[in-house]
Amino acid sequence: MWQDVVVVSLWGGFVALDTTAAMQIVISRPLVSCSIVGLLLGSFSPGFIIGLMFELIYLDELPVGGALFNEGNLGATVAAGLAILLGRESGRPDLAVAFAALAGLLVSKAGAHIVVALRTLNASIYTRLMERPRITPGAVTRAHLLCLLLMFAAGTGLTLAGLVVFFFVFRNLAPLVPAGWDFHLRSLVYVFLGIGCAVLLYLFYERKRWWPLAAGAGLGLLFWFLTALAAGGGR
Amino acid sequence: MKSRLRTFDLWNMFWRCLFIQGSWNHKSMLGLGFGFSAIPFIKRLFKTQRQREECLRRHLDFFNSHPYYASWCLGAVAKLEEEAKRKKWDDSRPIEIFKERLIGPLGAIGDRLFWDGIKPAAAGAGIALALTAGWIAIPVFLLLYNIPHLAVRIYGLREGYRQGFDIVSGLSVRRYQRWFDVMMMAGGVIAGLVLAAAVRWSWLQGAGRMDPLHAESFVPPALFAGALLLTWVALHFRISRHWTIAGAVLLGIIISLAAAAL
Repeated sequence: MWQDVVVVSLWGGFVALDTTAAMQIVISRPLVSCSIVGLLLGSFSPGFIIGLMFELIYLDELPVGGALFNEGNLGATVAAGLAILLGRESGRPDLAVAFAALAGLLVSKAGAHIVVALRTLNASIYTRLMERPRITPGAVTRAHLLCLLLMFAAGTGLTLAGLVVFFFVFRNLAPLVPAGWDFHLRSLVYVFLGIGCAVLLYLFYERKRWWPLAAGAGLGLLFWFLTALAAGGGR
Repeated sequence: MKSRLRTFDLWNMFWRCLFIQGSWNHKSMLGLGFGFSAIPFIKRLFKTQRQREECLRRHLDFFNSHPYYASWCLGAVAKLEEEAKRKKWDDSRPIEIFKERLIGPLGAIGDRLFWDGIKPAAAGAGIALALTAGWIAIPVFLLLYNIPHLAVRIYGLREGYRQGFDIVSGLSVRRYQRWFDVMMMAGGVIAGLVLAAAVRWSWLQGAGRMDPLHAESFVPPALFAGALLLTWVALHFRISRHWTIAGAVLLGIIISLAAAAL
C-alpha cells in the first residue's frame, strides 16, 4: 500500500513538471496521467474514468505564464490514486470513486497556491543569480535546474500529502456512510460529466461559434443512431 | 568557420528549450530559461569568460513568449549573435531590440493557436473517443497534440537560425488568421461530438445497468442534464468554478439518494 503511495507521488512530481515547467507533451493531462496511475496500480478502469471527468472539467484551464490556474492535473492524479487505493483498501470502490473525485478538486485548488509560491521562489533564485559578481554557464544551468527540482519536489509533496491526508479522512468518514448509498454515489460520475460538458459548451458560447458545434453534435447523434441501427439489424 | 554553430548545438538548444518555462518567475518571466537554452551557442561562439558573461547577461534579461514559440526567437538570436561575432558589430543593442519586438507576436500567435485551438480540439477528440472507444483515445490525444507541438518547436528553431532578423516577416497574427479559423471550427465540431458522446454514454449507462421501469434508470441522464444546466447558469453569472462544482455535486448526491429511496 505505502509503496503504491510513493510510486503515485513520484509520478505526481513528473505531472507537475510536464504541466508547465518541462516538455509540456501533455502526459500530465488528466486523461493520460490518471490512466498511467491506473496502470501503475494495476487497475486501469477507475483511473481512466477519473481522468475523463477531470479532463472535461479542467479543459479551459490554461497554464499561461502569470495566470493563477487550478492544478487540475495534480488534483486528477491524486484523485485517481485515491480511487484505486481506497477502493482496494476498503472494499467499497463506488464510494471511493465519489470521495476521490471530491478530494481531487480540493487538491487542485491547493495546487494553485503552491505554484504561486514556487514562482516567487524562482524570482529570488533569479535575483541571486543576477547579483553574483560572475555569471557562468554552469551557474545559470544550476539555477535553472534548481527551479525544475523545486517544481518536481512540490508536485511529489502535494501528491503525497493529498494521498495521505485523504486516506485518513476516508478511513474515518467511510463507516458513517451507509453501504447502501455506495452504488448511488457512483452516479456522481454523471454530474462530473455534465459539468465538464457545460464548461466545453460555454467555451464556444463565448466565442459565438454555434454552427460547428451543432454540426458536431448532429454528426455524433447520427453516428450513435447508425451504430444502434446496425447493432439492432445484426441481432 | 570556428564560430559557426553545428547541428549538434541546434539539437542541444532544442532539448534545453523544452525546459524553457522551468524557471518562470515574475521578474524575468522566461528570461532565465532563455539564458539556459542559449548556453550551447554561447559556449560555441565565445571562448573567453568575459565574452560569455556579457552574452549571458544579455539573454538572462526579461523575455516572454508562448513557450513553444520561444524556439523561433532562440534560433534567430543564435544567428544574430553569430553574425555579430563574424562581422564584429560594435553594438549588441539591435539583438536586444529584436528580442523585445518578438515578445508580442510570439505570445499572441502561440496562445491563440495552441491554448485556444489545438489544445481544446485535441483534448475534445480524446474525450469523445474515450467515451466511445476506450483507451485508444490516449495515444490519439498524445499524437494529435504533440505532432504540431514538436513540429512548431523544431521548425521555429531551424527557420529562426536560417532567417535571423527576417523571421519577423513570417510572424504576423494576420498570416496565421486562417489557421486560427480552421482550429476554431474544428474545435467547435469536436465539442459537438463530445456532447453527443456524453449524452449517449450517460443514457446507455442508465439503461444498461438498471431496470427502465424504475426511477433509478433515469438518474444518469437526469444528473448529466441537471449538472450541465446548473453549471451553464453558474458560468454565465461568473460564479466560481469550485462553488459551482460543489453545488452540482451536492444536488447530485441528493437527487441520486432520493431516486434510490423512491
